Amino acid sequence: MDRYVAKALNVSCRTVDGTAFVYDQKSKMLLKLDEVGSFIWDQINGTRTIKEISGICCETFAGDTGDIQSAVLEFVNDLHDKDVVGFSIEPFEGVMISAC
Amino acid sequence: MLVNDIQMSEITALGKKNIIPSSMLIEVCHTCNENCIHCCLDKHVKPGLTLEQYGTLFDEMVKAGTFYVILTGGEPFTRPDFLEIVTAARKRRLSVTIFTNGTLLTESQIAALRSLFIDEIHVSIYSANADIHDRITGLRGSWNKSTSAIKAMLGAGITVRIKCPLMNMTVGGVDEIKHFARSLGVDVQFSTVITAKNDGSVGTHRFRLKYEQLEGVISDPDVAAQGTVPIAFRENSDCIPCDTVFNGGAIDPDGNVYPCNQLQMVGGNVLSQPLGKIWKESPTFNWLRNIRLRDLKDCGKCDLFQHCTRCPGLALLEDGDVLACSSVAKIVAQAREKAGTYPTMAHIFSRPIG
Repeated sequence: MDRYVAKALNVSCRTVDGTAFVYDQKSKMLLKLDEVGSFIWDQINGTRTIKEISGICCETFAGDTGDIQSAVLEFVNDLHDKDVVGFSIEPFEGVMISAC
Repeated sequence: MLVNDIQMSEITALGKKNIIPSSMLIEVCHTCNENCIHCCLDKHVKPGLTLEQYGTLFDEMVKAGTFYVILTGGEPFTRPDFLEIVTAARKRRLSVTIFTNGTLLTESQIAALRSLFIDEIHVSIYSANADIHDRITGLRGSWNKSTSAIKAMLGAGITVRIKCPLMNMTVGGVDEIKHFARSLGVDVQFSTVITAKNDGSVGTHRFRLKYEQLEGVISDPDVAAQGTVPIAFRENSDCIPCDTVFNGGAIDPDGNVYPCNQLQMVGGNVLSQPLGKIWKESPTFNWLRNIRLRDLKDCGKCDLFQHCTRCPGLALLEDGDVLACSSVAKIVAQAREKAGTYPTMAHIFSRPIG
C-alpha cells in the first residue's frame, strides 16, 4: 500500500465522459474501465501511493473503508499484472509523472 | 472496475456519437527530401508550428478527448525537432502513428522511437524494384534507405506497415510488392486512387491506374477490402455520407483544422482558437455534419450506389462540389460492379449516424 504507482510508458489513455480507455502499445490491448476504475486511473500520476489513492477513494465513495482499500489494492495489482502501471518505493520522476 | 479488452472501434464510435476528435492527423511540415511525382502537395515549403505550439495543441487535444494522432508531413523527419514533437505527444499519452519515407531515420532515432512506444510507423514503398521506386521519389538511393529503415525498425520491435499507392507504371508489380512485404513480415496497404494536388491541379492524374488496370486489381482482397454483399443504406435518407468531421480530422502545418486532409474545408486555426471549440462550434464543420444522403445530388438514384466508396473530399477537390458525385469514386465503383464485389462496412459511404 505504500508503493508509488505510475502509468506505464507503454500506455496511451484518455478519459472521455468519465470512462477511461487504456491502450497498451506493446500488447495492442485496449481496456475500458468503469466509473470507479476510471476515477482510480485518473488518480495514478506517479506521485501518489496506493494508500493515498485509497484514501481519496474513501473520501469520494460511500462504503466500508476496509472494503474500499482492498478493492483499490486488487484493482491496481490487476493493472500491474496487465503491465499498464508500474510500482516504486520512491515517487516517480520525469515522463512517468502524468496527469493524463 | 476493469471492463476488459475492447476494440478500438468503440472509441471511434463514442467519438462519432459525442462529436469528439478521437483521431487527428497532423501535418507537422510540408518540407520533404523526396520529390514524388504523384504527391498531393503543391508546394513543399511550410515548416509547421513550433515545438511549443505543438505542446499547447496536444494539451488541447487531451481536453478535447483525442486518443490517437497520426504525425506526417511532407516528411516529418526533415524537422530536426521531430522526435521532440513525438515525445511531447507521448507525454500526453496520445497514441502515435507516424507516416514517413524512412530515408532520414538514424539508428539512434529508431532506438528513441522504440522507447517512446509508437503505435505504428507507415513507410511509403512504391515498387519492389529499386529503380522504379527511385524514379517515383526523384531521390536516387531512396529505396535502399527506406527498406533499410523498415528492417532496422522491425529489428527494434517497432510495428511497421508499407503504404503503396498504385500507379499505372507500378501496378504490374503488385505481386512482387506483396512478396517483398511478406518476406519482411509486414502488412502492405495498397490504394488504387492517385488524387489531384491539394490546389486542385490534376497533373498527377496521368499516373492513375488505367480502367483495365483497375479492373485487374479491384477483386484482389490484398489491394482493396472486399465485401461480398451490398450493405450501404440507400433506403434511409438520414444516413450520413462520411464519418469524418464527427470523430476525426486533420491539421495542416499552419494550424488550420480540416475535417480530413482530403477535405479542404477549414473549420478554424489552432493558433487562434482551442481545438475543442473549433471542433464543436465551427459553422463549416456543423454544416458538414448535417449533410445526409438525401442532400447528395446524384447518389440516391445511382445504380452504382452499393459499389461506391465516395469521398466528399475528392468530390470537392476534383469535381468542384462536396455534394456532387465523385468522378473517380464512380470509376472505381464501375470496376467493382463489373467484378461483382462490394465495399466493406469500413468503406461504405452511407451509414446510420448511431
